[in-house]
Amino acid sequence: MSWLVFLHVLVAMLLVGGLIASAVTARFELWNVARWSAVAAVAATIVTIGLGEGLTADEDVAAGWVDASRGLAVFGVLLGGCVLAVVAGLARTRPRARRVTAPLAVLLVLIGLATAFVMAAKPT
Amino acid sequence: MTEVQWLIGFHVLGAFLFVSGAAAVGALHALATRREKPSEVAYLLGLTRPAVAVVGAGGLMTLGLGAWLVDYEGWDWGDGWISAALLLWIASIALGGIGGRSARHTRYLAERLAAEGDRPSEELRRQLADPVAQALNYASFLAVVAVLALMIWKPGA
Repeated sequence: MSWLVFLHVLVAMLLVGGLIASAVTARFELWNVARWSAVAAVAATIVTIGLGEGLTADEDVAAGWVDASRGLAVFGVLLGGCVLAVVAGLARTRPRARRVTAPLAVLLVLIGLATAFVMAAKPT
Repeated sequence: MTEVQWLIGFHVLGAFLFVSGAAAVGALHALATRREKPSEVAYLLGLTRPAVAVVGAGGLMTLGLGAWLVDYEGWDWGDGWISAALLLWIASIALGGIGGRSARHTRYLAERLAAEGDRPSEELRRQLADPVAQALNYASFLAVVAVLALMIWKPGA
């Protein structure tokens, strides 16, 4: 069980790191790097969610904080990360995409941190 | 939510900022080592500064709230897992600081070379691939991963 927790948290930290790298590079218009950082973050999100589901099944946990964090991870970080990867790819040629890429990446960093907070604090 | 839930929540949030920021710095530094033009190297190394600020904020948050948690939960600073985590945290900051200083000097060199014609330089390539600086940065990250392991397994608690 502890190995699952360890890997779950470690990969989640790396995924937020990927989103921070995406936000910084998008802010300074390195679109290709921003795009690949977002793709790496999406891959890490899938691994994190998989490990989290393994933990939930292992411990047979059913609580509001699990559902809340699951919702934030899937509909916030995962779907948002996919959108970020697409938008960062479009930003090379479309000015409108340029304007939203960095704010979207920052928003996803905040959602990732909010997910971590909910999982750590386990509010009832 | 109880006080301890808030404390744990923000302590973990600080840890996320600390490790995620370090991962972002590492990724940007790795990108810089693959560039040839000094102006591109200087630009990418300059981008690490906001991520370093995130690492600093996360490090302070983790330490401050961790100390508060030790006091609140009535743990002993002499407990093996707490003192080991604190020593590793200090080691991580110190190693990362020394490695970061080397990266800063590399950025200054890249900026100077960019202003002098922006031609690829063997000296810059050597500094970017400096094995000592790389070892320090890896060791800093490994120390932080070891802190995470201690926080999860809490050996001896």
